[in-house]
Amino acid sequence: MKSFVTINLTGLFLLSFISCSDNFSYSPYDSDVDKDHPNEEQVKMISNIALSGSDTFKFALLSDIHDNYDDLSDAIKRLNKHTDLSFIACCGDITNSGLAQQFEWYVDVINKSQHPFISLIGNHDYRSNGYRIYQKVFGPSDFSFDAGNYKFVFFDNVVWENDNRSPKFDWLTDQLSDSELPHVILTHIPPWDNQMTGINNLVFRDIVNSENTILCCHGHTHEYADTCYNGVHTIVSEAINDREYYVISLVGKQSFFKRIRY
Amino acid sequence: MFALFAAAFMIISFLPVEDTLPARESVTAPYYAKMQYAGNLGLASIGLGKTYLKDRLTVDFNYGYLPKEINGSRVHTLALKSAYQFKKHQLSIFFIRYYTGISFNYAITDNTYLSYPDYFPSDYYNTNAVHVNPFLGIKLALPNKADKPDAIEIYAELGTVDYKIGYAIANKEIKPKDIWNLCFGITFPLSNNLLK
Repeated sequence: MKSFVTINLTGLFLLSFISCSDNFSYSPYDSDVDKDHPNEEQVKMISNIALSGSDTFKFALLSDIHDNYDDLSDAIKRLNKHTDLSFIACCGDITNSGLAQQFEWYVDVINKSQHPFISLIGNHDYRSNGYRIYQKVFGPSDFSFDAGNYKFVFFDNVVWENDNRSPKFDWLTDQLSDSELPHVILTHIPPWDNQMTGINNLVFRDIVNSENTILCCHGHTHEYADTCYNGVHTIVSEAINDREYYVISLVGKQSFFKRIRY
Repeated sequence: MFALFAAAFMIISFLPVEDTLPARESVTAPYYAKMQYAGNLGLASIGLGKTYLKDRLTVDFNYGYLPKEINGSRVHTLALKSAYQFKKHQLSIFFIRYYTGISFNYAITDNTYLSYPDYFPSDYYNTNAVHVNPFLGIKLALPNKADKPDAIEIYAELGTVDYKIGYAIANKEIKPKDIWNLCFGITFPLSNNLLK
């Protein structure tokens, strides 16, 4: 009887060992990710769609996933039913604490999207070794691309979690000056937030204005806002656990959006 | 490595119980040293421990290291680990112990703080340097003379990290199998007088 119990217990352990999906973990903080989702690859898919687009260019905005993977999954199921979207943009905080496993779970969910899915870095994604992992999975944290008749600029403006360094404003200036196309700027942190006070706010307002930018999109605050900041139409997305996303339409130099709850 | 360990365990599990073997008390040394591979303590870790409650409870202090060359991040880990043995069997010439426990891990790596720099508002984040890791383990004690502690014990553990449990409970997208990981280790008895 004893040997039977022992064999059963040992067998239970063996089954558990065999069935766990990530056999060995050196540290929750290590940078070992076996999944990637390069923004550059997603952008190539956007370009193909945009070439055959109409006068109205549509994309979807959502933000601040943190640990709410089911809410993100439900949003993607709904977004897959939209046939006229050129891409989906997630405006940062794609993880809660910048751990490799959290990035992998996020990628597992966004891989279900039938639209190109672009991921911006947020302050939570910088925590621990998150910045290094973000680069492995998605590529550079500042990037831009042309789609339709617009230039989209994804700007990493995390300050405190980036050793209290200012964002790369020189890069942003270059992006806004090297194209005649109307600009849409996405940053995780709104320029009025306390991470962007003082000199960072002044510089941002000096660079981004109604002459070169038609729309700014942000996340971070977990509070919806539709406002005009420094003369630019500005939308702030709720966090994903509030179960809403935004479908944004660009027509000429004007932007419109629908706030969709699900 | 995993396959070899599993195969060895299968063979050992099916060895018959020899009732004619002389009865022998399996005793873990009062003090022990240990080495471990993986298990959220780094690529490898070393530790020192002590047994309590007539062998049933172990408490050890560990240091683990993950070099930057492995996958890009250097991590130092300090861990206080405690385990309680809930079952013990003699199989052939071996003793098998089953235990469960918990480990409090403190990590030193980039952007990971017990106390955040002054430019963060107070209470902006909880600490991200400490994790609690529950685990289940199985330990194989090699035989020794009847009146001596077991010479060497090899063990395997199935563990997880606090946040993964919470995420798996809150999200159907995360399956229970996604939160577990393995480690292997070995303990060596130390002289009673060594750590006194």
